[in-house]
Amino acid sequence: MVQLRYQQVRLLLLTTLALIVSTAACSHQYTKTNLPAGAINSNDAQFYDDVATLRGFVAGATQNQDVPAQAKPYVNKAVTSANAAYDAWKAYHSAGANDSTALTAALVQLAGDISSLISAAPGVPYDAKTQAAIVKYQQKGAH
Amino acid sequence: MDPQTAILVAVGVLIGQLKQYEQTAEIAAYLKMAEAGYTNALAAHEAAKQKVDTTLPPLQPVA
Repeated sequence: MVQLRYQQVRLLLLTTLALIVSTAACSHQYTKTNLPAGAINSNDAQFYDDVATLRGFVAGATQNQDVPAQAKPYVNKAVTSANAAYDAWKAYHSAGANDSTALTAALVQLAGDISSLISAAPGVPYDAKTQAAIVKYQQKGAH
Repeated sequence: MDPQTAILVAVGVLIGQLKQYEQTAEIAAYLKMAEAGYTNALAAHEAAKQKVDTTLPPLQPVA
């Protein structure tokens, strides 16, 4: 095998890191070639992904023993919103993934309730994907 | 194979090949970052390919 010099290895590693970052950045872009099984179209897949991400955060919060007692009402409000958002996605999905008005409104509500929960219980961990989904729907709600 | 899968496979092979050059602290640190990033990207990619599920049970409130 060809022996690489230090600078070449360094350059290859930096290129690798750039590839990983760009791949991760594109990971939420659904196309006809990477639709999850059962998804009607890319919008259906993306909404499901968003609902699953935010719902997953809320599910984690219900299991988190570190959530302070005063934050529990916020957890339960987010639970109600997460269930409503999932039901809204099911309705959207079963109707052929056309009109997303009610689903978007449900996700805006859920993102707002999660944001309130995070403020009430700052110790609850959340990842970058959850944060991105919260910001996305808070911005939609602001318009 | 979709383009994203192809890129991830190529990155995995590249990281495997570059591991033999883990001779300095800087290269080791880059490799560690690349491996961690690759693991996360792979997990996200696989999660995105899961089927949509219309049968999830409702979340339950906390007491």
